[in-house]
Amino acid sequence: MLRNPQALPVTPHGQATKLLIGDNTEENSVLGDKADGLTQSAAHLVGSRALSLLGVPTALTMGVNAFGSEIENAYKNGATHTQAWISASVAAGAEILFERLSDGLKSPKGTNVDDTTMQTLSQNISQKVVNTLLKWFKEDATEGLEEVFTDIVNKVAQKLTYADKMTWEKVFSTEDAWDSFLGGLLLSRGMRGADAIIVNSNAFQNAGLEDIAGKLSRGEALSAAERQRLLDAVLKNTAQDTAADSNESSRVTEPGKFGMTGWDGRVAVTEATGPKVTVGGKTYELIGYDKDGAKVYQDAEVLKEQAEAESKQMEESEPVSQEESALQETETEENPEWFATALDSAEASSADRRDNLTSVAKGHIMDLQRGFMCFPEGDPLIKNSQKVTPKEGFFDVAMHGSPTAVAFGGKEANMSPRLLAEVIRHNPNYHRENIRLLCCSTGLQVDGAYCFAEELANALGVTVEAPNKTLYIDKNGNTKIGDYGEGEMIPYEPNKRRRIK
Amino acid sequence: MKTIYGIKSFGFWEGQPYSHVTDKYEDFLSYKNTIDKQKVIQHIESLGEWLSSVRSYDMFTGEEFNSGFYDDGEFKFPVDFLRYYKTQDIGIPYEYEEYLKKIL
Repeated sequence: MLRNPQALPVTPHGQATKLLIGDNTEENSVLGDKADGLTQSAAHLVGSRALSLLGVPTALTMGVNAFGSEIENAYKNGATHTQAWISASVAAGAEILFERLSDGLKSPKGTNVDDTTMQTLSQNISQKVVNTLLKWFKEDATEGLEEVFTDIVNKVAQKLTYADKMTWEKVFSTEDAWDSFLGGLLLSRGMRGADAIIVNSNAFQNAGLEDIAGKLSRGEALSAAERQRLLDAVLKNTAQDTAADSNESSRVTEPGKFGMTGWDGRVAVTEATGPKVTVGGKTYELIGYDKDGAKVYQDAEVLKEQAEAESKQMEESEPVSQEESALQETETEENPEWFATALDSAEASSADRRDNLTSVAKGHIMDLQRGFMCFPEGDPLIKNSQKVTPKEGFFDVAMHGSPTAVAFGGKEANMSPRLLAEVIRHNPNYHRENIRLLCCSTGLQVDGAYCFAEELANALGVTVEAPNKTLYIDKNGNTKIGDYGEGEMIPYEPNKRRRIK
Repeated sequence: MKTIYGIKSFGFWEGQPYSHVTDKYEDFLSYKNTIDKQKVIQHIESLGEWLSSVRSYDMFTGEEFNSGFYDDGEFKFPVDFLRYYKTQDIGIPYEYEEYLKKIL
């Protein structure tokens, strides 16, 4: 169902945009003439935040609430998926900013912001944004702070979402703001719904923009040609998103109940318990679970089209070198095509010393009831693992494991969390469920260091549950953790700790 | 034999990949059981093993295998023990032998 087929207002560089609502935010806002600067700064923050996560796919959890709130508001105002996504991204960025600034205000002395706090904040987040916003923040710090920032969230998002071309050009009057915001857009592509914001760390690699990613990460200015390449990539991706707007999404809004929300109104239809349901002559397939454990379904035709498009894209990909070709032949002898794609993707982006791609490529993937496993040939755990009862809302991954790495298809550790994340993402049966690792000790933190499960949670942006001791499985699929059952499955949520250097 | 978490455990000795050590291998050389060894083996094999991906190694041949254990009522011992019980001249603890005599 196509709600609003408006063109996406993503660029001031010639792409026509359509005005959805009047740009009267400044007149009605407490921000007054500060709105443009705030808009630019918040957008810059979103981009900066996303860029800071380059290479580490994760959820921007701090901004989730604002994201969810704003995305609903945007849909009510008639936004397309993509427009709502941009709007909510900025809202989330502003929320992050507000929380950071609030933390600064609540310093131990309980007094107003001092220079030290400001400096710390400045180091923690984008210097440019902090400098811009703290300036106004100090002016408005006496009262009504939250209202001011709430207003920022709403107005900034609305400006970026619904503004006309002239406003966009005005807001993005500096090239570096554009660079970072476009970078953020590219990285953030693919986040949908109001549940979380997922950053696609491979966006730059997939678009062949590693050089630009490097420059943006280092804060270096882009050339005009580079900026155009970045813009082209964003437009290409957003065009796909916009095309997807014409496909109706459907999701279950209560566990066990099937409803078609499409973002603009729920139509509760029938019960849905299986992997497929048919409503009004259309078939929907289970694609995952939302944060409340409710089933999320997608039009089967849409899924088929997506699979065909991906397949076509792979066929049209550039020819590979002789060495890569040989590696692919090894992989595809026993493994599905998506696995080879996952390794290609990982090869382009990973430099983790735990990864041994040659060894990994020899692994033989086998399906579990809901997930996959990769044990050495003849391992008795193959049979035992197949009997493990699936856990609702979780996708199982089983193989030999340790606190820091897993052994994909082998006995020796050969795979990092980031590489496993790539493999999981490329698995066509994975639809962003939480992960249950049936891998020994992958949930064991040693001396406070990140364990495998925690790193995987950060990489995938979903909860990862893993045993903190040796995992035993019997022939009936029953599990015990620890020699005496004294261990447990530890759930790791994404990005709960600062990165350990 | 040691009681760990209320479970009578034996056959866990140094060099194996388990969290507790209960005995020495040499202890089992001294057990002279009267129960039929083949019956014991058949019984243990019928228990069903709990297996892990952690590797254990045969201390005589170096052969690699999945570590794991058997639970038999209030007794517990590693899969390693059955391997050695089958191939070496060792016995089972008398307390376990008494238990098996009652149920076999």
